[in-house]
Amino acid sequence: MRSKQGTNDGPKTNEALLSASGLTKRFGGLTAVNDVDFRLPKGQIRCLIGPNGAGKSTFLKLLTGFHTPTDGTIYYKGEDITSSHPHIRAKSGISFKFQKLSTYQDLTVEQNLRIPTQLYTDGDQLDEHIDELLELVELTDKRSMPVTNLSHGEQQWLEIAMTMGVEPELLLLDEPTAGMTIDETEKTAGLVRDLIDEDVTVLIVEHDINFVRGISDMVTVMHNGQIFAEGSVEEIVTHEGVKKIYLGKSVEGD
Amino acid sequence: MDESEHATEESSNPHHWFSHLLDRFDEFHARFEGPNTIGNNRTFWAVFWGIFAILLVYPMIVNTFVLKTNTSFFIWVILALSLSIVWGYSGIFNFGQMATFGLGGYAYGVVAINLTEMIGGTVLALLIGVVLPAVVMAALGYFMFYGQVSGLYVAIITLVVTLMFNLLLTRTSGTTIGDAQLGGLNGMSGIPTLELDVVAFSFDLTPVSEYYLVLALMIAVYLGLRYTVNSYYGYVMIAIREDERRTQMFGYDIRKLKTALFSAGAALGGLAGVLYVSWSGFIDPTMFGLVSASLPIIWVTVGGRGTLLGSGIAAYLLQYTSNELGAMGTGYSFIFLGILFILVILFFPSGIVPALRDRWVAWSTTRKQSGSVQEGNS
Repeated sequence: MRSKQGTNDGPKTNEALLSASGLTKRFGGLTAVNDVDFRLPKGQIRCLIGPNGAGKSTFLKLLTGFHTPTDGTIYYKGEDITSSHPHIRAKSGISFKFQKLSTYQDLTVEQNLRIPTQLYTDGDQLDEHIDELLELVELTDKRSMPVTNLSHGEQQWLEIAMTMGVEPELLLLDEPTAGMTIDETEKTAGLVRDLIDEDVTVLIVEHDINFVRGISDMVTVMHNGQIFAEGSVEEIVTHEGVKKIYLGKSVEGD
Repeated sequence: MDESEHATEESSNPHHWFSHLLDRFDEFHARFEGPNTIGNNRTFWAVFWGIFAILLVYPMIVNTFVLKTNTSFFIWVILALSLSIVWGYSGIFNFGQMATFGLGGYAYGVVAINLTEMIGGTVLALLIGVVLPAVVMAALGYFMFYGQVSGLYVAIITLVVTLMFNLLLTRTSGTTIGDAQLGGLNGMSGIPTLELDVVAFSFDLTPVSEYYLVLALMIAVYLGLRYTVNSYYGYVMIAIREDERRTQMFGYDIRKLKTALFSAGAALGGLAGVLYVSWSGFIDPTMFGLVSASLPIIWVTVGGRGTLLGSGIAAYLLQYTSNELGAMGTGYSFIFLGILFILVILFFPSGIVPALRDRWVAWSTTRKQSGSVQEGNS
């Protein structure tokens, strides 16, 4: 089992948990991610925003190993993980929630949670750990329900709980609020804020600026496969260039 | 089961030893129960052991010929269970499960013929018959799963490999391995029966003892697999079947796991092949033909891919029916199997046994509900 000891030795806030340099991904003639340099300090909740097709999802998939980069390097905890297989990255603490809902549709809530957790938790503590995760996303009373009986929002939370089941140090969430109502989005924000207490660093691809404002101080903006701007939420929403790339649409929300 | 309820029952019930016995009964079965199998209640196990009891006295009520035929059906059940694991639970559409059976059979035949004089020779042959298909399929699995081959391509590759073995073995009319003549299209005959003479006791298998051996193995394989699918590896299998990508992102090395599952299924298929060849004393390349290769696929589809019970029952009943139809004339059994296969796919896509289970659950829930209403009224 992976130990969390050793990474917690002192408040080295400046230490980057994850970094990428010159990261590039081309699909045929299309350059989805173009020469990206990126740094994510430990303990931060970072939001990644940008117009559709900016390369955000591709960037996350490069970090998980789902895609192999055309060029560039990825470092995680100081190690070069550019060519390591996705399951190796998962085992070293990188957990990923797909944009498309990816719960196991034929199974119950409990079975869904058991699959990720059993790999990281001993058999006798498994039920207890599943209880904790159910509490975290407030699905305790739906434990033995088939997943298909859950609402869309509940399934998204379940999947967040599943990604937490692997005891991640870095959680990558690709649009966790997609298709959610306003109430559900708010609840998701609360859930993500709670993750900080669990000692998890989070990188979220998100569109909803109100959601972003609610959970994070630092925002990275991607545009045309490149990092366009980076700064606090206030800096970003008042950034003229950022307003422009959103085609005149207000990013301040309403 | 509510414990407090039991406690009061025990103190007030003069036959508390009986309820105690039932608790033991439940405790024993609990390890074979879980959300990944059908039949997780007392009724199921009562019926299960009831049938087992009938099977125990079966040799006393039928003649040797009927008994011997029945033994072969049990062997097919073991083969069906092996495909249920590989395809039904793990989602690897393996058209080559019959090839593992044939490989096990040929390996047993060659070794057993050569070591027939040696004490424990046939037992060694059995071990080789289990290990060889496992190794061959581990190698094939390695190339497929580490090469990112999946879905329908696995079915095509495994079928092609099966047909290649068929072609290869038909060309062996002059080939001998030691004393064993592979015999080409005519097949290999004169294969000795399994002799269990490595332990203190020694006996040649008679039709009756062979029946009991195969019955015991079938029950052991079924219970062993029930235990497995409800524990760690069962969840691994289902996760791989449901969503490989997602499962990989949780930290599972699906390439390695699929290769291992594929190989383990082959070992079990090989065991069935060994038992079959020991039973018949004969094997030929039709074992690797297209018709044979599709049989396990049909059993598992008809019975229900996601259930061990369904696959086993379907293998038994379909082989029994095919056998009866075969007595009427050639070809009938294939027409029957073909039509049944199509009907099941059209009307019960997840198999007959899961469909029956759903009916049963719906029926017993409504019965319970109406029962509780009556109790409330009285």
